[in-house]
Amino acid sequence: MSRSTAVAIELQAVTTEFGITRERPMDLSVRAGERVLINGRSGAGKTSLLYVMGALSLARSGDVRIADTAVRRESVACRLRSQVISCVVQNAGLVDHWTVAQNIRAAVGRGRVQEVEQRLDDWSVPFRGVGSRELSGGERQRLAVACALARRSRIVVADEPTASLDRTNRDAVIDAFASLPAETTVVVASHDPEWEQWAHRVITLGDEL
Amino acid sequence: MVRNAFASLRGRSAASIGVLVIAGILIATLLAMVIPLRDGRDNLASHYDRSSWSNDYLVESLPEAAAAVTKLEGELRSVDGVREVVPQYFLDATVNGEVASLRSYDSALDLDLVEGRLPRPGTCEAVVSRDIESSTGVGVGDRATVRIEQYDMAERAESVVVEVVGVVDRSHPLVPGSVVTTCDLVPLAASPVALLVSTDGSVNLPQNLSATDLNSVAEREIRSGTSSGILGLIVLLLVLLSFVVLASVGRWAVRSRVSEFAALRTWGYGRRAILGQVSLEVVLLWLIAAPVGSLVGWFLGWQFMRRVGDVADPASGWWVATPSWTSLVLVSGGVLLALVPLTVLPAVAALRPSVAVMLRRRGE
Repeated sequence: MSRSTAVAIELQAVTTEFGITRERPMDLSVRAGERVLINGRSGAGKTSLLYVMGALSLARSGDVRIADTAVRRESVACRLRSQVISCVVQNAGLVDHWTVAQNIRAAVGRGRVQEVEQRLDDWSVPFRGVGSRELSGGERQRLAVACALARRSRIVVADEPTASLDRTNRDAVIDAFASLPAETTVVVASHDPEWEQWAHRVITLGDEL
Repeated sequence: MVRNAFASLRGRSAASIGVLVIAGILIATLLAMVIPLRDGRDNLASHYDRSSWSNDYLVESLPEAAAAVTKLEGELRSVDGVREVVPQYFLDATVNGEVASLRSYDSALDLDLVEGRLPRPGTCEAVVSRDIESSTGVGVGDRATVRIEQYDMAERAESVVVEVVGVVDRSHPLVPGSVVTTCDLVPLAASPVALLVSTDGSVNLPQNLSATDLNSVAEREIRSGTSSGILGLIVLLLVLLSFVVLASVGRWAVRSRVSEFAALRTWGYGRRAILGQVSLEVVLLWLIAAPVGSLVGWFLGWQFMRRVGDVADPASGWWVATPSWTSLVLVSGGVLLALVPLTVLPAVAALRPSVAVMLRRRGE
């Protein structure tokens, strides 16, 4: 399958808040439509790197470009998160005191609620008249993934999106990521080796980097 | 934003919202307590601003010698336009141990009778003000012994027994705690304390006399109350203290929402949008807290004023505390200003770090 040569995410001499990339600057280029898996030992800095790639935090130093936009200020990062990037963070990142429906509406907007609900039905996640607190860890995780995918962003970054899931649900989530449009750039940080088959490229954060 | 604000208010625990609502009501209550203290004097001054008093004057600085006072009375009666000169006798007294002011009936103007009838001249009848009735239990139909305290004649004290025939609201000279009697007080008093000069309005009183028209006297009496100022200061200190306490409540309330703010920012909501949502929540809280707290505070302030203040009769009606538009705006605005630091400023601080830092702080 041919992929675009356009660059979706580019890091040049970037250092992050935590992990090995705090002290060792990193260069990384992710093409548009590319699926990248970041793995490595705990504490290596996968989440920190992913947060920079998802515009959830600014780099300590170096240049970050996402969708041809230099990310140097929070206002720019915010615009990117709003228009270009969807993020799945660890422990779901939902508003606990809202209902599931309110979370969906706030995350994807009214126009895509049905799409999320359809996916939640397929994944057997309850959402009608249910509060976020009533969901299990796995259900919350799938809700967060469903919302992120429904936004149809050009870039999706996900931090351990299958960490709380059993085999069946994990496979369903990986399939959902695999069925994203070919032009969607996806970066996933995970320990789970099942993601390796899905990825076009695997980056292992470790001492050898 | 509106939908998110309603969702946040509905979804958060009753305790979390309850603390903020109670905080808002508390601030509104404390602020509104100032209303009766602030507006009470104006309301009283307006109530006692009577056109019939504008032609009457009070001469208060009288000579010490009784003969000189009598001479002055004669001089005033001879002035063109003067209709009548009435000596004013006020005696410090007690009724059933309660301090009272015993006044001669001639000195009383425009008595507002609320029960019974006015005393008849030539008898030894009396009307008592409502606060005397409520504090001593002496009412219409009772015989009361009024003990006169002649402080200028040490050790000497006399009593007069009066038949109480009526109860009055405050009137000239606007001092609560009055017993107004038709008994002859001249033998009991060394000399009058003032002369009331009634005129036809076109009179030139001698320049060397310190004469004040009764409306000015009334206003002076009302505004000379000092305890309301002290009470206002106490309330103000309580308000300031409550701000400090409630600022801590605000920080606690926002800390529990870091997870919510982090989620919203992950979805692309900017700081301004989230602060807008929080501000909207503040306005919704304010819509509940301001009216409830203001009503409670106004009532407490009125009761406070009736029992402790020096502004109104203890038995004065609620009209004394009628709030002015300025007070309503000040209290409403004050509550809103208080709720802002309570909620919005901690939210500003909570939103300052990056999303990544906020995500790490979830659950702290």
